[in-house]
Amino acid sequence: MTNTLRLSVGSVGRALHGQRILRRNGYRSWVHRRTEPSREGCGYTLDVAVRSPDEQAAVLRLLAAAGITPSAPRESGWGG
Amino acid sequence: MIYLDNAATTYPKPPCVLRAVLRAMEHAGGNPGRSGHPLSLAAAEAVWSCRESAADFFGCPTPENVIFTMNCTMSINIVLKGLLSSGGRVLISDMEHNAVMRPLYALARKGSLKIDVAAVVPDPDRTVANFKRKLTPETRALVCAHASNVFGVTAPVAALGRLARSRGIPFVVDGAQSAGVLPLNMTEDYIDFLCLPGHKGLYGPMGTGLLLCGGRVPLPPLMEGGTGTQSRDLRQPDTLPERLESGTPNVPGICGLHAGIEWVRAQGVDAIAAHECRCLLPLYHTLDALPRVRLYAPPPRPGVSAAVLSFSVEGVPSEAIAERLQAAGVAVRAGYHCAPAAHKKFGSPEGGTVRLSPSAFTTERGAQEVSRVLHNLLVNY
Repeated sequence: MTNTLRLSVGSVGRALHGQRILRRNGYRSWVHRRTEPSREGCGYTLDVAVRSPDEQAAVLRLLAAAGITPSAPRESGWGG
Repeated sequence: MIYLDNAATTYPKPPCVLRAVLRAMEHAGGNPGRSGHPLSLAAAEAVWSCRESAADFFGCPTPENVIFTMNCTMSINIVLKGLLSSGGRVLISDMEHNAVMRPLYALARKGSLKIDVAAVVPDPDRTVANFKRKLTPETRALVCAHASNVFGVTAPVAALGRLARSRGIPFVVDGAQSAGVLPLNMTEDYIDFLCLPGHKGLYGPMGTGLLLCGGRVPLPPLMEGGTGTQSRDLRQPDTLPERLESGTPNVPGICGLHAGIEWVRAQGVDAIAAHECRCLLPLYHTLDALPRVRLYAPPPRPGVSAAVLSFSVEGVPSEAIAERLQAAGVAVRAGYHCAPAAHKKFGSPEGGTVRLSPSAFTTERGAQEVSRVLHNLLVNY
């Protein structure tokens, strides 16, 4: 089953950077304007298609290696 | 017209650059980083692609550290005013453009900044020794033009970068005349801040510039404003590129610059430099053989100097020669070229020099024609 991991990454640049890194590693992702209200204000999210908790962890590791640390990752699926 | 004023800005631009500008205005017309609709995201994609291209081409650690500016002068101002506003000493070369000299002069007049100057000489080791001698414990930055915009001579940037790194001070390079025609790599050359025009050797549109940050030294913003992120926080974001980029960027210009960088990459920096030097050589030898003509630097050599040739004629104002060349259909630049320090170093006469600067689009036939025009003009002047 594929789930969507929604990552709040701040700027569109970081979202695009993250998307390209993930694409090179075989992950599909989409850049969106953040829709949920945030204390910080405006920003972008990166929605990543992941099939397991392991993949989710791998995605976060890939992004962190590029200096992209999303605030409050949220996923749909896996245990509600 | 035969255009030999490419050191001011390259002309013409490659057709792919024109197409990229038009395509951006047609298909990437939204404001990047501000919205989520397709036009905004298309613009953001285009801007990001240029960051990636520039970072890769110049060895910048990450695309986030590529900052878009209006021109090289703006890039230099961001760095110098960011690093040196609180005073100390700065070490520069003796062939700096006013893009470096004027901001430093303004800072020196305002406060406690002291400017030290080291001579660039033909022997790279002696140049490095000259800089080494002028470094003090108070030196806050080493700033150097890679290539003189007037005489084409170069500074040994990698060796100077190594020196600056060994002393723990930021190394700032003005690559206005070298980007696209000489090898330039931030990592290999130990460059902390690389300031570049987009519209010269990178063949982008005028009104584009780059500031590439090595990431070791933080820089405060020269101006603050909207970035499309963290909007409720009145402090400027800490992350690059937002920290140094406020307001709407020049998306069509950036897309043109991206096309220019990729065009230069496809041609090859070495091939462009070799072609430009081939064009200048007959001009050099023609001028060298004429009476009362003074040349200031050795013949241009690819990989060693920028293809820029300056000359003066005893007793004749440089602007008068430029005017006569213009009447003959040749576009050049005369005067001091915004670089009085370089003119002083080379001892050019009152009124400066005439500067000939080819590009990848200059033809050898065109250069030979200019050679003939110059000979006829100057042999009996």
